[in-house]
Amino acid sequence: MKLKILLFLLLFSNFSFAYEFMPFEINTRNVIEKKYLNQPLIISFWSIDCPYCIDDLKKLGKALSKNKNVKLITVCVDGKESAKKAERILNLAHLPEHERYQYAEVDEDKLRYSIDPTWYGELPRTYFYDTAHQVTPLSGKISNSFLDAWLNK
Amino acid sequence: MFIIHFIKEQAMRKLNSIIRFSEKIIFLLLILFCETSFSHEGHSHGSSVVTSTSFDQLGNLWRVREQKGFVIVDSSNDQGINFSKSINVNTELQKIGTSGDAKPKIAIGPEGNIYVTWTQTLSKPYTGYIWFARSKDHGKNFELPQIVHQDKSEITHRFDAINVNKDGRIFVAWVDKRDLEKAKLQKKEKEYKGAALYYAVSENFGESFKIERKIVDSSCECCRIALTNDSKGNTIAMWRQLYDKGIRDHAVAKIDMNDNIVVNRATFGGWKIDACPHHGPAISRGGDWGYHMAWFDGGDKAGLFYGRIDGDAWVSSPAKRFGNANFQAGHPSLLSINEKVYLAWKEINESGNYIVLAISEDGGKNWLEAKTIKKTEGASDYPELIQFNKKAFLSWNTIKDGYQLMALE
Repeated sequence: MKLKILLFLLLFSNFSFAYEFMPFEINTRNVIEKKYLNQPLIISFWSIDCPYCIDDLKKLGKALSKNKNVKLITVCVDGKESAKKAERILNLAHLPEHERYQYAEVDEDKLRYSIDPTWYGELPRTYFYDTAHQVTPLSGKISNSFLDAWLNK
Repeated sequence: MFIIHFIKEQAMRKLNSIIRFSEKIIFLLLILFCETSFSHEGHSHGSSVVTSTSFDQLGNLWRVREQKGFVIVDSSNDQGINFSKSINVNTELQKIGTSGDAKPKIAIGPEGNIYVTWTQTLSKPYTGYIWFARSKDHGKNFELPQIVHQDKSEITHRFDAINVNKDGRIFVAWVDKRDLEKAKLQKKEKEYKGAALYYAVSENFGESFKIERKIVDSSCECCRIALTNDSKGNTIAMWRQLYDKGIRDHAVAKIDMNDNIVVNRATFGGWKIDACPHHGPAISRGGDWGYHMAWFDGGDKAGLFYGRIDGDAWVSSPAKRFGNANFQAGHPSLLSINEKVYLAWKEINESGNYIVLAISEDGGKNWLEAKTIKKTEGASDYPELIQFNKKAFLSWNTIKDGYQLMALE
């Protein structure tokens, strides 16, 4: 009996170790930009509370499977207490292997302001960096025409 | 021989007890890990910064917050300096909506009942239940909470809003996706856009709620709803609505006591976006003519706006811009006392968050210069304007500087 309980608990505790989100802090956007200098890059900010976000992530996943040169970064704007749910939702998007971040700053407003003062919190929010790191920010659903045009640029 | 056997047995016993002890330790450690993993799913941040407040008839300030999976209520009889010991409203741990535009709400009836609503976040994405609890003994006890909607499917019921009119009639509204789910099943040709707004009414001071009804289809999915009353006690609601071509402007509805509903478009900013804005509006009743409104629009002309709308023909005045869009002006609160109108909002800069206040002394026609009235360096809630005895107060919760109540001139 004890063994069964032990195994049951082990199962749950394993889940609790399964998160692989890296902390996204005030300086993280700069660090990512430097790390992937001269590479096309998409940074996608999303939330477990935003129905449009998951559709967007699915779309990005599909497009990037054919454009492997584009680096993808996802940032979940919900705190780490939502990590389990966030991971569950993110896995639904069938994204390629990529760096997954999650907000790690209590003052989310300040963090958002530091990322981009012209972003008012609407989600999804996606930043498209071309090879020269010319950035196109986009709020809301990514249209197919925009995505095709950007990928073929 | 006997002695050796005895020593061996002693050693074995010792070993066994060590093994048993280690087992216990491992067992306890595992429980600890599991507890941690469970509690992660169960609550947010330890305690959230979001707070809602209201004065009772005696001038006591009542405050609701979320803490470790519980909705907690406390009160202050010295205008927010000291608070009573808080009491838990929900009896079982829940994940409570506190992100974006979501927060537990508190309202006080004319008879003195204290009402609290909140959204319980369920495990499927975007799903929730709207809960309601009441205290009939001035906050000493809260009765067992109830879910206000009869539809209990695990779908979106989120962003609760509560209004109590002058006669004590309770109106709770929320964002509801039952019609979207139905449309998905029926695979209709025309896609169902957005969510819907539903409401439930209690005419027995919170004892029970009548079956919920729909206000409108195709509301925005993730913005708070603003509620007030007309002079007769009918409900006036304002929310972000999805118009043609993905434009998210605001609508105003009058929902009378017989459930007649009149919906009109109230703002014309034309913000076209398929996204969750997380910016709901504010509304306050002005004179006999109608209502003050404040809202955020994104896009090229992003910013905070104010306008008036009359309560008969529902025609709105041109939108007037407030605040500094470069500093994220948004999340407004409005309060109107006779001809005086208070408009407060939040801005953000490198050094922190701050609240800006604008005042009009002629019913919103002209405005005095807006002033920064409170600052904090850490995280903060959106501002709330509340009143007691025709006197206005700013209510604002911050992490670093604690809860702030400020009497306004």
